[in-house]
Amino acid sequence: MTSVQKQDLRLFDDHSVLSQSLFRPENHHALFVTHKLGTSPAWLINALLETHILGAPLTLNESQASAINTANRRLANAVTRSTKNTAIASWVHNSEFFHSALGKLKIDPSRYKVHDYLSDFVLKYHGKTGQKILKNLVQELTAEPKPDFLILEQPELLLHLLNISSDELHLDFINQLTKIIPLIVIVSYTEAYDNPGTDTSERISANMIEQIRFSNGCVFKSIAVLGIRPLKTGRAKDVTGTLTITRGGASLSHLPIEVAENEYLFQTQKDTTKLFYR
Amino acid sequence: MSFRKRGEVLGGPGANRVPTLGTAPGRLPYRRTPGADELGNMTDRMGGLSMREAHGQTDSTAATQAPQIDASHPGVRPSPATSQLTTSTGCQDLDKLLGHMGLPLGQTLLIQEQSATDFSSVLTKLFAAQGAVHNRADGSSAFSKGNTHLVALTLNQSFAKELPGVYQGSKKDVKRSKVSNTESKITVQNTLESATSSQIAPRDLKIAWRYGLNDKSKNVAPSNSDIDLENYPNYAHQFDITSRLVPAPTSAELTLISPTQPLPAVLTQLQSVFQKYPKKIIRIVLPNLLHPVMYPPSYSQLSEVISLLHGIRSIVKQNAERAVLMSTISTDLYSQTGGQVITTVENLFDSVIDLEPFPQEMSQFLSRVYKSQPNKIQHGLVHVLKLPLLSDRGEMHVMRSEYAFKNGKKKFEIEPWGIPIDDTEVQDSKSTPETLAEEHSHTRVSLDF
Repeated sequence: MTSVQKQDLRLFDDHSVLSQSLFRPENHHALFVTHKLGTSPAWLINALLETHILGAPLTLNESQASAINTANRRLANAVTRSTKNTAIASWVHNSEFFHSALGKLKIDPSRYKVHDYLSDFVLKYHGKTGQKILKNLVQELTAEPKPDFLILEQPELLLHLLNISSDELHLDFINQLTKIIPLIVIVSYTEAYDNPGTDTSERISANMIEQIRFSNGCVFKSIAVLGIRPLKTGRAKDVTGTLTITRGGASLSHLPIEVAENEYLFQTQKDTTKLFYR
Repeated sequence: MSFRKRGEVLGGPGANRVPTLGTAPGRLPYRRTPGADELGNMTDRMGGLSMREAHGQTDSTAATQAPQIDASHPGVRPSPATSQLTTSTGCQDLDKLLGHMGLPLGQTLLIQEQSATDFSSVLTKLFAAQGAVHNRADGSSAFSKGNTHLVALTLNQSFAKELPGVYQGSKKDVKRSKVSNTESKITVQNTLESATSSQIAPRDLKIAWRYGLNDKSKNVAPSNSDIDLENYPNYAHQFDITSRLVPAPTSAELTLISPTQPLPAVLTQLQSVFQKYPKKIIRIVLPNLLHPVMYPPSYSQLSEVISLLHGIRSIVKQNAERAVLMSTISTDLYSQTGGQVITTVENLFDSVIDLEPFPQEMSQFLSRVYKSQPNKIQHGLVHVLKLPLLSDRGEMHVMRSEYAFKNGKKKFEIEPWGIPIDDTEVQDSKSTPETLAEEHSHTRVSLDF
């Protein structure tokens, strides 16, 4: 794929990944990232984190060595980034996963905060009331220093871990967070959602309904939806999958930017991801 | 002067005689074995008897070989793909399929199986048996010390007794190894034989050395598998599923946890295993996950299932440097259409492999095609859905119908799948042009000279 021109990732029409206008204190926004079996969103999460911490998604389209060089230069210019607080909360990965990914760019762990909701979550919260736990989680996630950018990885697992409905999860958790944090990114696994069997149209299980309601709620709340999925034709050696950027249900009319709707092909190999057009 | 029978084994409790005999000049206490490998094997057969211990010296290497989770563990090697420490699943073809020559430590593997067959249970037993064999690789002290511990979440109390034994080779190999075993023992007869052979040996060796005949290692370029075998001799074993592992793992090697207990009890028991064996690799097996015979009805609810798997995943990830997990599930019990159980369970595992046994028509077709080679008949397809570490970092590894498996007495084989050509059909198609040719044979005959 050397002949194919690499493309920079841009989510908004001001050629930015995370536009500065999103972080105005009076505004609160959400992005929704969906992914499927076979295409883990780790690279996109890293790209978004890098963008917020270093100003650009350095590992995209670049080799590991050149990304580290650029990261070092940008980290030296630390003054510009010191005011930003970044946080990640994950229900499927522990903090080590993120530390090792971001550690490759020598980003100091003090520049971001990882809320590890994989380790001991069940032992800590099993059998307790969902609402109280959600309140606790909101308090933990918005504790000082308050983050201005938060990534939630698979919060839909809370539906089952706490045995709550999607409405409760939205009202008591997602909505509470969006009221406080300027930009949150919800990363969700939608393999089951997109893939209901042909005979399920008549009888959909209660779990599936909750999952669909949760995903729909996220789509309507977010300004942009980033969908990662494998190629429809199956596995290919030179393409991993597609990244589709579409507008979400929330309006951006109060801001001078628009979502740059687009579809990229991407290839992830070892630690690098390359983006290009079809 | 002592009177001993010719075949009586010398040594035993008085093994400390061996080195003292060895130090006597010009006299060989045990049968001379050609090559250092044989010598190594012999010390193995002597039950890990250390020469240094016999001298009364403190064995300094013993301390370094103590069970620590590092490269010295016999069941651990670095992955060729990511160089992360990896342990064998007990099935060498599955090890290769996973892309790391095994399952990397801290990773979990789910084996799904469609239809009512139970091929996946073979893989779980191999996985558990491999752990037990690793545990015993260091010698007889493994029962008290050991380097690996097994945990099985099952109601089956005889799980330990069902584990397969190490494949000893074909009947001929077994006989040969028995003969060499008896020859290697230090008996009066053997020492006499070795003494006579040692007198002749130097002359032969001299000639062999002159012509470089003894220098096999330099001449033959070793293949990859040979290198693996040399570097990691106890990494992966071959098992015979018709035999049983003897002695069966005891409670010192295997912990059984009942899934019928309340969820927090299961998780705390699992955690306590990690605390009890702080320096061992812990192999967790969840055979027949969510099978209604073993799991209480409450597990049919997604909230209970996810809590169990999330809790177990958290424990594995907390002990990522020394834990591996394998689980099997029947997808027919919880089909894709009946909710989202399978997709959500898949999501909580690092690697997922799906076994799809062939339907009857396909099996019949294969048995017809491979009539003369029944060893080649595959039993089903292998679909790869996720690979450990690689899928997690974003690589796409969904491979459907690219591999097929076949289960045999001594091996669970996974190989690239291709539909074989039916000879009878080929012959039919061939026969038509031949008959046509026969029809036109008149012209051919006239032209022939």
